[in-house]
Amino acid sequence: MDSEALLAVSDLRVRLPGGAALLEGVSLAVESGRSLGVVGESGSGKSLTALAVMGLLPGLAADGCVRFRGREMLGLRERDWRPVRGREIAMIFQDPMTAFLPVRRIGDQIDEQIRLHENLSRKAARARTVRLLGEMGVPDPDQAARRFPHQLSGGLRQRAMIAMALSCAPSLLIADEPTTALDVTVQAQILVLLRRLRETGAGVMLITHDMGVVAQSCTDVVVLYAGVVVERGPVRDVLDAPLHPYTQALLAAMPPLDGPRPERLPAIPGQPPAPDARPAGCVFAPRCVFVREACGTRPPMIARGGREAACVLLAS
Amino acid sequence: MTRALLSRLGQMVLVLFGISVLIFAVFFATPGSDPSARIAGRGASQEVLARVRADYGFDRPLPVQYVRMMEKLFVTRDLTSFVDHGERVVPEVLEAAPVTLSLVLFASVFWLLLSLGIGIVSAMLRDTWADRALMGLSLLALSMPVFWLGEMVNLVTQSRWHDAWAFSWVPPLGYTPFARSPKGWALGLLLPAFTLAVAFIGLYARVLRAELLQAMGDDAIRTARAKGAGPARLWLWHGLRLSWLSYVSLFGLDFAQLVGGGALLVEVVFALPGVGHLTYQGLNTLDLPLIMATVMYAAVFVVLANAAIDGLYALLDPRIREARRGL
Amino acid sequence: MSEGGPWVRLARQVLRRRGAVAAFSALLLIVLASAAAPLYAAWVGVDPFASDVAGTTIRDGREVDLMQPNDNPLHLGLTPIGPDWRLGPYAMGADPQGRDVAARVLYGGRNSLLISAASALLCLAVATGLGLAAGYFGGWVDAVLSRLLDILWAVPVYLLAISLSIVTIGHALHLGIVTIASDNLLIPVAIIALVYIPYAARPLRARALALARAEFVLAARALGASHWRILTREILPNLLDTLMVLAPLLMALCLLAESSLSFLSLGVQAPAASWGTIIQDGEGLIYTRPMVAILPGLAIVATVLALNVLGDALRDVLDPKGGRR
Repeated sequence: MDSEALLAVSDLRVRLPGGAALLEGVSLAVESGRSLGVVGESGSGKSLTALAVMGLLPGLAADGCVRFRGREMLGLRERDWRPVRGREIAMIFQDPMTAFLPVRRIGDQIDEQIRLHENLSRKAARARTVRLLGEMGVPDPDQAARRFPHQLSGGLRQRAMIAMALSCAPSLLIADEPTTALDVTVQAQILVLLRRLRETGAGVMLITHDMGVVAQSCTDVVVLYAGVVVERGPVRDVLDAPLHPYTQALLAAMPPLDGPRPERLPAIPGQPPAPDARPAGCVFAPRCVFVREACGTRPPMIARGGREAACVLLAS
Repeated sequence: MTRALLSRLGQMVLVLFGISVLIFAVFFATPGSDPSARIAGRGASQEVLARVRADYGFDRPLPVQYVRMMEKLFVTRDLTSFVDHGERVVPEVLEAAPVTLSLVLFASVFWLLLSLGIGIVSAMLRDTWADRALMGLSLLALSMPVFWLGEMVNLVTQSRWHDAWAFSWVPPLGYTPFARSPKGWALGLLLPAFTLAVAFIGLYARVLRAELLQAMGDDAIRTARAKGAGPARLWLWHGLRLSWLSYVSLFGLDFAQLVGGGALLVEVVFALPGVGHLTYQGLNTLDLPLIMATVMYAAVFVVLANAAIDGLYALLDPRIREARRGL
Repeated sequence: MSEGGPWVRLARQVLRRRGAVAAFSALLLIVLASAAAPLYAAWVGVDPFASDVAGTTIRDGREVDLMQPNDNPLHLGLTPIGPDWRLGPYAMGADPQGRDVAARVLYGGRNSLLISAASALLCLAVATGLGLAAGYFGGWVDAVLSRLLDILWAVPVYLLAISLSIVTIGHALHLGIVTIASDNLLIPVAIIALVYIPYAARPLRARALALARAEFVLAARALGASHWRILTREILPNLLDTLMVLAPLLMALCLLAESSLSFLSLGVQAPAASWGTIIQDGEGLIYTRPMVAILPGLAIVATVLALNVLGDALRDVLDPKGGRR
């Protein structure tokens, strides 16, 4: 049986027109029925990775390899992208306020996506829209479809956004910080929705800066730092025993999922480097407490116990 | 809703009042000269002067004069011209209005269609030579004095190449009422309307291009791409819908100003007997009541049109509608 | 910091654009040519202000009448001599009063440029005051000023200018002890400046409003700076870029307005010339001696176009995102 992943990104590089590298060889894979959390601070390149997978990079050059169902997607013509976007790969954006067109009704915007990809009547499309909104837990979905985006609460808007993303039953869903703009209870409900979707057999790629979100809803995780993958593996393993010092620091900075909150969370001292000021060696070295001479050259991914990390500590 | 409407109405009345006072003051309260002498026209006799003074009540205080003038303009509508042997002014203005309205309607069709086309094409081909050429032409178009352009059009189509096949259809200058000959009406207005439209085509194409490009950077457009929308749908259904608000409001303003008399220069150059031409005649004979009547009616029309545009704006943008309802 | 002050840097950025350089050179050329009008008139030996319908000039070594019998059977009477395209008197022909068209266009440029520049500056000065007051103080000051501007804005620009011109024309203005003669250029300058005040005041008010809430202004206020000090030291300098973008665009509008008024005989009064009055002079000759109207028109187009290109370049450099018209 061919075991190629649903989405396989390897050695993805993205640079600015000026030459500064934003992504330096990102590799990751999303399997059907699993969900991959892509974690990193802002500026680590996680959203950029998502946009590259969708072919939506704004005026940036990308090279490397992005294979979706075995098909190379980088450099695909816009015309060939169209039947893929929305139907095979759908995306949920961070801010559902700005992501919807403010001047059209929610229902019309979801109908549009359905009718772009399927030969359905207006009525049939609307029926599906209303059904989807209902499934996403939108109360009174028939009414909600006739609302403008600004008339819905943030949580309802995000549910509508997810309904739109799922309207054509995509096999890969990319969610870019889908819960950041929402409060905690709504956040939990949205994450449940995403988990249910994964259970129906689709692949999910969840972009977040929040390890807690990953812990709640992902099966696998990739940790990005300054445009480089520093660690990847199954969520349980990585959370229980992180290999890379950055992952360790990130987890230490996370409040425990249960139990009493500590007085103060340890923070990682320093700032991630700007794209044009990244060190030639390990990108985390300037902030790392274990830094040593060998960190002057960039470490390769080293496998250990079912997962991989890019750190010289593992080589010794 | 009712309260918002009432407050809007109150504002409109206030502006209307302000405008009438302003125009009245310009014509009859400029310091240092006797308005009756100017109304009576050049070389008027003493009896005429006395009659003007009594008729307009220039011997009374200014507020009384103002009320009397408004009454003559809008209530009894019997403001008479002294230069033009007692011709009533208001009916004259109303009679000329259809000519101006035809001209401006015609022109607005030109300028909407062409500026939409140029603006969209230019935005889609951003930074190519075609975009640069179109934008250069647009800038040139809005840099031309309209009366001069009209004369150049006349020079080419009425005289130099009038007999060439390209312009043999051009009728002589002047206006043919629609009722007499629809074809003559349309042919006669074609070139004046185009001349009037040129500057607006340039301006609107530039505005639309800038707005469109700004809208295309919007997050919502990225969502639309992520949905799998093609370029036509992206630019027209999403981009245009986001960006045409300012375009529409700009159009409303300019349309109202043109109908209100901004088309004067074109009417003069092409000898079209519209409201602007009437004003022009008034200028030549120093017929102040006539000029004041045209200006006053123009301003009233502009204010009413602006209110209508505000309503239309609310229809186009649900966010504004909300905000207003919440007022 | 980089070499040179902010002005030098701005100039360098603007002049990096080819269009802006061309526009600037064209403008400079037009201004210099207009300034040299008396030199030109003296050099070719014509008086551009004296009617000379009985005069003669030299063409191809022969003395010819300035007013020639009409060659068009429809037009009775005399037609002024046409252009001969050679440097010298009447190179561009004569106008209906036998005056040298080329020299009049140069002299007309002086008035047109002077009036449009002066009215643009005056308009900007007044609009800045109004915009600052409305945007900074807000409240009822803003409400009153904004309504006043609304009122001014509702009257079509040209109609307001025409109304103001018609009541000032032919009558000297007596304002207390000052009397302004009706042919004084101040009158068209003031009128044109007045009608465009709302156009300039709106963006300035918006900018002042934003600045009034900016942190550095709040900080200055917290330190106890006076309104006057905040307005002149903190807000006004930050309005400069808006003013610099507005200035050429406004001057282009004022030039078009001036020529329109003069075309309607409401601006510059005879025998003085402006590009608009010369087009008016040429209107009756448009089918026989079109050059009388073409030449000043081209001058207007070139100047307005150059100003617009320059304004665009300044806007691109100073304010890459904003700005509409």
